[in-house]
Amino acid sequence: MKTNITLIGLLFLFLGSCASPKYLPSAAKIDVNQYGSYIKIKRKTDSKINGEFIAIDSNRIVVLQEETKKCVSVPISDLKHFKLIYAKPKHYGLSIPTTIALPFIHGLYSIVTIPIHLLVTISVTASGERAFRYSDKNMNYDMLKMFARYPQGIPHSIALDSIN
Amino acid sequence: MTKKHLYYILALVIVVTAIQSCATYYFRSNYNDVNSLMYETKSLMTKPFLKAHLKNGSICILNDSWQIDTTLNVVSGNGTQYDYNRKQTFQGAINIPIDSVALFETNVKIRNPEAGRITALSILAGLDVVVGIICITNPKACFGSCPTFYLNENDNFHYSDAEGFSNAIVPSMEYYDIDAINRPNIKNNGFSITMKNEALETHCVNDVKVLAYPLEKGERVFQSPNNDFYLCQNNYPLSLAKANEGDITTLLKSPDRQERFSLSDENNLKSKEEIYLNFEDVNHSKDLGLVLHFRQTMMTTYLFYSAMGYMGNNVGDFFARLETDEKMRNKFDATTKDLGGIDCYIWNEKTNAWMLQPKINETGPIAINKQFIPFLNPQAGFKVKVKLVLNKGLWRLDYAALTNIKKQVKPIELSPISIYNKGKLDNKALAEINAPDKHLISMPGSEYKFNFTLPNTNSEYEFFLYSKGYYLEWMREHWIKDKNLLKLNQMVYHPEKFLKQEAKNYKQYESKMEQEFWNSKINTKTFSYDEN
Repeated sequence: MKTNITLIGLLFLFLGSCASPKYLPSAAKIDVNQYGSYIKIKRKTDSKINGEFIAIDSNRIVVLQEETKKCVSVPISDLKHFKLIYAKPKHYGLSIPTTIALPFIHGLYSIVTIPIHLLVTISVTASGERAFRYSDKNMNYDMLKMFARYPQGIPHSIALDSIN
Repeated sequence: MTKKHLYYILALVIVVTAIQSCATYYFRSNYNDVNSLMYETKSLMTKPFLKAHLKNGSICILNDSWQIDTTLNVVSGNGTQYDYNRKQTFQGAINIPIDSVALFETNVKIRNPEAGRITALSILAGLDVVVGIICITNPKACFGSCPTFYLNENDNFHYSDAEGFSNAIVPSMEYYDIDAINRPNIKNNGFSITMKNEALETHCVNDVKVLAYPLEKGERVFQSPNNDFYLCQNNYPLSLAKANEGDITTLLKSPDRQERFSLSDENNLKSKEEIYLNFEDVNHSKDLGLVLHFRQTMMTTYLFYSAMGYMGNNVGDFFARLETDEKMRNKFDATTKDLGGIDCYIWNEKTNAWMLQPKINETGPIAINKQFIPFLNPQAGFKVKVKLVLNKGLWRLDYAALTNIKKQVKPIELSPISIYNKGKLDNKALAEINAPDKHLISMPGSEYKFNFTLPNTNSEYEFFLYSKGYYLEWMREHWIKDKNLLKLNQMVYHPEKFLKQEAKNYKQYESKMEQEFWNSKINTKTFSYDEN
């Protein structure tokens, strides 16, 4: 039981770490959102950059970094992986702990229903968290461009450090 | 719910889960010029919102009434304008010169993106409700009873090797129970047995030990219903077994868990049936006895839980009375006593009559009991006929054979040398088991591994498990609504009438649950309510 609680706790921590930024729209409002999508970049040096996706061209990708609120420019050649979240995911994590109550409701049948419950609730929770995202596995840079704040590229008149 | 149904549900849930987890949406389009925008969107049934990304970094988001005026070269509509830092600068009717636009963007609405996940959770909720209703309606099928013992700690209750003191439901009813068990896995002179609490009960275990007897080649030791032990040799397999339904020889010929059982009488739970066993080629007909592997159906569990339900919110008062009133104690299981055990008869060729032998009776539906009836009357000839008289729908028989008694013996007693509580050495538990006046308290989900050492590694042994204690059934909230003191009174003081009246109710439960419960042999570990 202690192990189960620890696992569920870890899952919550994991899901908590996936909390999406406030500026992301719900799936129903993706067509009226004025911001760029949320992007997570892993560089070849293994360092990570998270924040609003500002623009991309053939040489660099620009991200308004979440922590510093400053734009960071990363050479495309230095990019290892990316994940892009374009809408707020729905959280189904609360469905997982309901499994704890099953032995008291289903008795010996819980031997069967607990694994089914865990399979479904963990899968639904995980897929809910992953629902509105792309990665370098299913999107190329040309398509990625459409999810930037400036899909046309950063206008020449705008200085990077003035973007917020 | 059968195994087949479970597979269907599991498959459906997996398919739905897989489908919803694979969904990837491609919904966004960009247009570098107004012509491609017009061309691509004219065939759409619903006009999308339009985002115009301006060359200066601003954005205009127009609602679905936007228009393109190719004469004036403007896009117009109602919407909102934001500057390059996405601060709102205007809201209302907007005319955007096409020349100022760097890029147009449209998005197709994602319809019901959560549908797959909600469907999966709905199916799951449906499954929970169905199983919940089954358990509320028939709690007897969902909740087991008594401590269960395992030679292989990874087995579940379907493969339990023994179950302890099933009738000891209050402290004053504490007793010891001895069950024959298979040969454990012996390593370096030692072996272990795991005790689990797999029910909503508090188990108070006074003692657990192993009784062992060294064997020579061809010998076996069997335990009689009176807990006497007989050293035996020779095995005479069944030639023919007949019951009401016909030939049942294949079901009883070998100890393979393929059990013969019947369904209860729909007019009276107390209703007897007969089984005839024929043995041929019995070369030594002197000092014979019958080896029988058996266990109960869920009938007695049903009766016990019914009694608990009838007590309703007075359950505490009744259990206090059970504890202090011996008469009440003796009457409490009147229905179970009325159903009786397995009566055994052998045919006497000389007198042409059936001769009654000692009877077998052991409560518990989980572990298969292996007991022995030493025949009281000597037999002559190579053919032996046996008749078993038993209550319909109460017993499951797995194996029957004859054997010869060599002598009565006394096994050696092995106390545990150490106890592990979920993998950790538990000296307190060992002290409690070894102290005659103390109890090891085992809560739902508990698992205790008892380790034993054999005196002589070179011998083969016959093993028996000795367990002593009592258990306290946990009252379920949904049982309280079943309170019916008149029914309880009938159960205790007029058991025959009760068994007659309850027959139809049990039949309904039996037809739905009994067979299905035991058919669902799922070798899966396990569930846990509580941490010790």
